[in-house]
Order: sequence, then C-alpha cells, then structure tokens
Amino acid sequence: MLSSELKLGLAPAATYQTLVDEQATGTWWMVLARAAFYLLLFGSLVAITATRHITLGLTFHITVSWSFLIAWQALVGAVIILPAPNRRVSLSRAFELLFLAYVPWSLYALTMTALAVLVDPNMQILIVALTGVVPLAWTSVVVAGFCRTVLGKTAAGARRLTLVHQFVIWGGTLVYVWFAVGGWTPILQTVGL
Amino acid sequence: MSLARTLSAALVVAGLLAGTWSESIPDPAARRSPAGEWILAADFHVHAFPGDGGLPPWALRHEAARAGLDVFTISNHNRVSTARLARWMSQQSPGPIVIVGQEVTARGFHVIAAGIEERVNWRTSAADVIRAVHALGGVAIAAHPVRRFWPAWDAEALAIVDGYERAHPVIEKENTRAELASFDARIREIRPHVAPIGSSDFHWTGSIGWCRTYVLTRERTHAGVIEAVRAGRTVAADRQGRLYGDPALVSAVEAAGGFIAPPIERYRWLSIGLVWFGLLGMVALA
Repeated sequence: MLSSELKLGLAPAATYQTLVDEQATGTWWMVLARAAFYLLLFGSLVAITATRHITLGLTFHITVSWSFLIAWQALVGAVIILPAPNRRVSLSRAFELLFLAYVPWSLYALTMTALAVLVDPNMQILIVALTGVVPLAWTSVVVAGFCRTVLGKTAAGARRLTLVHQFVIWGGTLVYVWFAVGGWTPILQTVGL
Repeated sequence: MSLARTLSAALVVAGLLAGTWSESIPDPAARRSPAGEWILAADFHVHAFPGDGGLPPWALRHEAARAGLDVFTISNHNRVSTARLARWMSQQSPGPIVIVGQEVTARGFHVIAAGIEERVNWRTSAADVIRAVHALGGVAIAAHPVRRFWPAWDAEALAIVDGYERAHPVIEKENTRAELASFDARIREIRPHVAPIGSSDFHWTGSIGWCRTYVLTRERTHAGVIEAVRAGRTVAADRQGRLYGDPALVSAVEAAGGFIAPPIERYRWLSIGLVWFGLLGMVALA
C-alpha cells in the first residue's frame, strides 16, 4: 500500500535493493513524468501557501517559473550518475530512482504548507530554515543508499558521493538565495549576525 | 497506475478545477473621496520571482487584482530587474498599476524605494538612502520599523522620509504592534504629515494586500500615486480593516466605503483540501 518513495524514506538501502532487483528498464518518459510530478507538487503547494487558494492558471505559472529547479536536480544527478562504472540499472532508471530520493522534501513541503495555511500564515523564515535540517539530513541518508545500492559504491564511496551531491545542490541553492535577497546582509541579519 | 494513485490524482484534478471555477476577481473599485480624489488600494511592499518571492510578476498581477488592489510595488531586496520586467509586462494589458521599487536592505534598516528606475546603493546611512531615492524621482518608506531598526532612524532620516509602514503583518503580534505605534508617535513629532503605509511584505506566505494602503490621488496613474505618497495623502489598513492616518483622510476613506476585504471564494478550502490530500496520496500510496 505504501509507495516506493515512502518505503525509501523508511528503509533506503533495502528498498533500493528491491527496486534494483525488479530489473525494470525504465524509460525517459518515466523520468519526465516523475519530474513533472515534483513540479506539480511544488507549484501547487506554493500556490496554496502564497495565496491561500489554488487554480489551474496559478499552479501552471508557478510550476513553469520554478521548473529550473528540476533541471538543476537532474544536472547534479548527472554529475554523480554518469561517472559511476558499476551502475546496476539503466541510465534512465538511475535518474528515476534518484528522483525518488527526494521524498523527505515532498513530505516536508506538504507539512509546512499545512502549517502555513492552518496555524501561522506568517511563518518566520528562520523556523523554515531550522526545520529544513530534518529533510536535508534525511535526504542525505536516502541518497547515500542510492549511491551504495544503485551506483554500486562502497560505503565510504557512497558517503563521499552523497557529500558531493549535497554540496553541489546546496551550493547552487545558496547562489540563488544570494541573488534573491540581494547579497548576504539580509541572511546575516536573519540569523542575528 | 494503482487505484489509490488514480484516486489521488483525481483529487488533485478535482481540487484544481474547483479552485479555478470558483475564483472571483472583483471589479476595480472606482471610489472617490468627498474632495473628488481617487481612492486607490495599494500594496507598496511585494517580493517577486525571480528574487525572494514565490510568484512570478505575471501571476502576482493577477493575484493583486484578485485581492482588490489597484496598485502594487515590486520591491525585491536590493534589486530592480524583476520589478522592471513586471512593469514592462503590465503595460501590455489592463490591470493593476505596477510600480518599480526596491527594498533597500542595509544592516540596521530597510527602506522601500517606490517609483525608481535604478538600483539604490544600500551601503550608506538611512538619510543618504532616502536622498538617493528622491534624486531618482521616487518616494522612500521606512519598512517594518520595529525596535531593532530604530537606531538607524535618527532625526535626520525621520525628517525626510516620505512614509513608514504603519500596518505590516507584524502588527498581528502584540509586542511589534506596540513598537509600530511607538514609531508612529515618534515620527509624527518630527514630520506630522508623513504618509502612513499598509503593506503585506509578501514573499511566500500570507497574501498580497494582507495590509494595504488607501492612496488619495488626483489622477489614476503611476505619477499620481507617487505624488500622493509624497504629499502624505494615504491611509494605512491592517487585515482587520482598522485604518490609520490623518483623521480627515480616514473619514474620507470611510465615507467612500472604508476598508474592502478581498473576496473569499466559496470553494477555497474544499479545493485546497482536495489538492493537498491528493498530493499526499500520490507521494505516500502505491
């Protein structure tokens, strides 16, 4: 009854092993469908959080605007998938399985949206940033499972590759944040420096 | 696709359709004060994508219209590129007036610069920032002037600032509500006709127009709005509809119908609930 994503979140290595053993070939359409779903999820939840209503048009506009996020995820995914010589699934299937690793962020986004709508529509950015540590750490564990089981890395190699993956993802995110808030001043102020 | 996932997807689609079907955009209000001025609803502090806002300019303008706003300023932190793009796009179709702005974000103070064309340097004092905004033809508004920003607001800056955020979402909290009231008392001693402003400071949460400003303008244009703020012909409103400002101007707004809350769609919560549970199902169920 539980989805592969949720099972991955609960038991990354075992679930990835099962998914690899299925020997599903995977297609690029499946990768696109998975990416489209995450975009729909993001667009819908931003629409709800930001406007407390939702329409097709609003969701479409937000989804299209932020689609670069998925492209960025795919690009960073390529950095760790393409050079892996012991990959145990097809290239497209590897991308599909990597996208599944973002389940902690999906659950976090759903939770924060519910809180923003039902509890505090003016949620402090600092609370969002601090609680974001949970999905960040959780996703790292799942990505490490991906590197170990799907890419065939050793335990130490999986940890190193996860570190690279997260470093590049968050490095890019910080560059966007820097652009978005007009330099570091607002960020330092937010954390009280 | 499994039955559970199919049902979840159907919930998402049903929610999106219900929300779209029940959306309502109020007609632009054509309100006049007893003195014959236009009364325009404005939000001078809105953040957009690309930048630290969640919504792109074209969606923001639609949301501004839905919130019953006639005017809004895109004021990203220390940037004007998105605001200029939004203003250019707004000239292609009818709808709320878009004003180019910047939230001048410095250590110790924030100033909303509305009606500018170029970025204002933020590495200086509040008074110098205000002078730079004036040199560019804009108006300067003290943003969310709560206690931690007070040291930067010296007498020199207070004497030349055009407006200050009297109503901001922080007004919902008791301590910051008192701080806004204290700043109000202090600035009015120095500059009695400074413009009280209501702003949403909209990024990702809350809603555009959450707090708003009623601007009493002689003409329904960008220039008319900037002139009215400079002259102090504004009334700030918080989400509860409380009005702040010169009693004569408050009376004028009240005589024209007072605070008008944004419409609440009939199936708002149903559509949100359907989409949220549908997405949860698509993430969690096989």
